[in-house]
Amino acid sequence: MRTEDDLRAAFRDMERFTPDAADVLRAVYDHPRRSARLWRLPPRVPRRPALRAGLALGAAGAVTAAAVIVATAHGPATKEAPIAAPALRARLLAAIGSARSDILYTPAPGGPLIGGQYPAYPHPGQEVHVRVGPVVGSDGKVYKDGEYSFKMPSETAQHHYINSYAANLDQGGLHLSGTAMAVDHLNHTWRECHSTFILGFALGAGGIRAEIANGQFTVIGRTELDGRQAIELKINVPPDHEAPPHVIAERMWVNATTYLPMRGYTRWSDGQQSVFDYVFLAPTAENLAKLRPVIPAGYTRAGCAQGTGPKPATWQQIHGRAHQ
Amino acid sequence: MTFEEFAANRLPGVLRFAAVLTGDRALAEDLAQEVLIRAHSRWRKIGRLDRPEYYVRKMILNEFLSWRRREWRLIPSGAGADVDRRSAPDHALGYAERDALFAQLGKLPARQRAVLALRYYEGLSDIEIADLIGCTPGTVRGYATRALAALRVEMNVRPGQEPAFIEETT
Repeated sequence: MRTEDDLRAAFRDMERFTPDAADVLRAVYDHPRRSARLWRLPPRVPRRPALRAGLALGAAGAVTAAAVIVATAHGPATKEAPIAAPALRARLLAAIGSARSDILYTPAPGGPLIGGQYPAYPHPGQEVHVRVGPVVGSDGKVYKDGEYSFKMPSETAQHHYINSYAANLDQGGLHLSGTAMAVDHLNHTWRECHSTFILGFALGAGGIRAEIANGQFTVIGRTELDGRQAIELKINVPPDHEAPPHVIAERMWVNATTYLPMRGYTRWSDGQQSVFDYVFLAPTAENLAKLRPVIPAGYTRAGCAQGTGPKPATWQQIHGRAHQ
Repeated sequence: MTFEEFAANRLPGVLRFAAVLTGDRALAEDLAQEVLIRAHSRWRKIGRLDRPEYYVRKMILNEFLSWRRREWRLIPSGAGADVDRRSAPDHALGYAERDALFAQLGKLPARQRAVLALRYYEGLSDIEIADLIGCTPGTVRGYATRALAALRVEMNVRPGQEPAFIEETT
């Protein structure tokens, strides 16, 4: 049995993981100031002049993204009758099922395809590859790259994990073991290690599918997104009784022709928000090759130690968050 | 306090807090960078506070907890080992026990881990922790009790101190 003093000693020992202050400050000072209005929800075609005027004001920068959310969420029906949720649900599930063997990227709208997961919606027991780079510095240089590879757990574990809204790291996440590969372009080294890691929240298209399968969405209406016809969905976020920040709004846009997810938007109670596109690519040899980190000639292999896997990546780390 | 004064005098403590919360240097760096980029842009307001470092620590804590929500993330939770097993593992008992405790801490839910770090590293009371996290002291005790049970840590029940209890938190 351990004592509380053992715990105090363990936490003190973790001070060795303290990052270098100079590195942190360099990132802070180099960081370009982002506009608080980095991204807005795309406006839907309004019927009433009053709403059109409201959206015009939004386009002029007079309202924030949050205000636009409210305006569009309670706006009138679009010109085309929205598809009924049950029918849409079936089409969405079929579309995601048909793309389960694709490569899934989640870049910032219009951003480069960094990161990526293959397959998009893995079967239990299937080998999964998640690239966590390339990580580009403020100077435009690539300084890190990496990949996690693991086998998707059994149907039971995966089902429990993916189908539960609470299945995030706060509830323990999904514990996995596999291989972590990292390329350090600053030091010209690479490493490949057996590692254990925790997968937070639902994996790729599997998570999207679970939300849709559980009927946790409302059809808002049709819209146009990047020149393509889309259907806007409001994901019904269940009450969260944990401590804040909570997710307070979540939207998804799906392609009105293929029914594949196109864009996601999440807003937290502390005002932060994230926006990302879903890009499905066919698993051709060329596309799969692009998913793998490249180890340049002359790089030396480094050993493995605790905490030396590739730098974890999140959607927000890959493409940043808009802050208000 | 200017941001530069904060960086010179208070930042090391904030970075140590990030390291203890995450137990991983890369994650701690990410956490600190994300928070400090935001804090830097709002420093005109934060710098006027009596203790700006407390505000930044709270930002660090909130960011750490919000990472766990609705995001897709892979977090290393244990020691790596070369795939070709060229590295010999260390079998010293003390290191093994330490590594085991680290690994178990890494598997704790975020709030449980944060509560332990605030209680046993920062030395805060349950009331102070509750204020920071935004829940009741009873909930804090519930998180701590479950975390300590998972880690097989025996609580020192001091005279006059009530034993911790589990409170409904979900």
